[in-house]
Amino acid sequence: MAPNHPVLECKKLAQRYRVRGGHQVVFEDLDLAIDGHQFVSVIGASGCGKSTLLRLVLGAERPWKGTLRSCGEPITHPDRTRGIVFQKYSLFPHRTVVENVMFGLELSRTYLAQKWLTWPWYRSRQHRQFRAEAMHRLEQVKLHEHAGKYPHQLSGGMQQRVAIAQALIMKPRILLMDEPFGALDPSTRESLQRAIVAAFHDQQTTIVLVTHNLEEAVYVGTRLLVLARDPRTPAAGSRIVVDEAVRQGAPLDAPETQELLAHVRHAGFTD
Amino acid sequence: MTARPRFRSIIGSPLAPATRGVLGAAGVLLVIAAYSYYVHRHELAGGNPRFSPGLGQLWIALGELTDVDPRTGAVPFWTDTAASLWILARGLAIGIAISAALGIAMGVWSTVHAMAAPVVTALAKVPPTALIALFLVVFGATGDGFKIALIAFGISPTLTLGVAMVARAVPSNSIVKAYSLGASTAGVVVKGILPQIVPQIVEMIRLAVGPAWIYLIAAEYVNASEGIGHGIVLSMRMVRIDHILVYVIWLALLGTAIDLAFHATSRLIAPWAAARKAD
Repeated sequence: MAPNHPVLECKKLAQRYRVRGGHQVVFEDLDLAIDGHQFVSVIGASGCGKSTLLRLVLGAERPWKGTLRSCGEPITHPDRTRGIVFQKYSLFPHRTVVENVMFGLELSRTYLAQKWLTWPWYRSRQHRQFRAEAMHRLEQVKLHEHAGKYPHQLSGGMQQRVAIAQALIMKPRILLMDEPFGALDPSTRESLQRAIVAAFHDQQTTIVLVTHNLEEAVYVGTRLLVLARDPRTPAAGSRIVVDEAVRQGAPLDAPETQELLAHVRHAGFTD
Repeated sequence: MTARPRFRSIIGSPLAPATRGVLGAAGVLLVIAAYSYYVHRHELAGGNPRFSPGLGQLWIALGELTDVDPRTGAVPFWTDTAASLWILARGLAIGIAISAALGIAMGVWSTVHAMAAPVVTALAKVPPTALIALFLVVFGATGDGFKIALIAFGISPTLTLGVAMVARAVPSNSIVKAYSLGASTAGVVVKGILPQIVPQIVEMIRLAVGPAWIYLIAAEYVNASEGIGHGIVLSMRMVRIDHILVYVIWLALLGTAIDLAFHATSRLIAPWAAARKAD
């Protein structure tokens, strides 16, 4: 990990999808660099390509053109340096809450090799450490009492807390979140927003959060990206129309926030 | 006095366990009563009781069937049952092994799916009983080989397609998530996908046990020296309807027991699936 490379770097990034009778360009010539300890909110109307951007960064799909690098290394497939929290299906239904959180730790190559080479005499001290670490994470999100439950026994907000703990325990360089709070009720949503901001400061990780909620984007982020399509040239795909630093946690009614919101709405984002 | 509002139970509303039990027992009694009525009418019409054995006759038939054969010193009913179950178990085991391996490979790798799906789909359309003649030649008329092959071949194509479908239905988010937690491709399959679909696979195996019995009995009709199908054929030759009916009831009980065993296994290995709501 060379020190002078940004955590995430997209150059001339482009993506298109096959549609009937040709291709639909999602975006083209997208340049983006994210460095250091940033909380980047990506926002845009549905269909603007914000989830596509996230999937590209994750490595879950390959770009049409352009390059994607994380700390100088090309991104070719999803790996443990980039964590992800989806809106749904982030947890494994066959694992209890604590097993879900420790899943990533159990998948480490050295642990698996040790486990298989010493089978069946394997008595895991390390496994107990993993469990203890997972329990510690669960305590931080106040879910340790639910450690033995299965995901379907938890509410949506609790499931997302577990999913965040599950991703953060791997200490990823970047934590990606795809509308993580989209299916939650407003009060749960708010408490999770506070929780993720707190985790952002504790963990010193870079976070990229995709949302369609402008207030959420402004509230949690330190940097705001707005993706929008120019209505005059719909075939050209989306561009980054706003890229602004934001004061994280600023009250919504503060004049500067209102100014920013007005600017964003003017620049292309309309609900 | 105020009238208590009468609630209409809507479709899909659950029943109390006791009510379910009573209704289930009532269903069984209803079938027995209907059969007894049929026997009674047949008797009144002067029919031959040989063709419509009453409950008492069936009981006696069970006694006859479970008599010790003085020549061999064994009870043919039990040895037939054991022989049939042993063939069934081996046929199922081979069929399940093939289907699970191929189905999961098809579910995980699109290339394998693209290559195997047309063949397997076509094979699933071949009535397995049409292959009895072929299997008799290939695996030999004597011994269990052709019966095991018939069962394995009979259940595998459909089971394979089912397993593949279930494996492909695992949300791609779940797979991406496993990769992002550091899993290798093998890790994703073994720890991420497989445990999730085990309960559904067990469910499909349960459904495959029914057809497996069909192929077994069909094969035993054709050629066997023991087994339940063989016992039924012998009863048929001697026109012992009562014996045939005892075999049929026995088959129903065995099938139910196997079904319950699979159900219990599924609950044991995947306790999370039982209470999980479909989302």
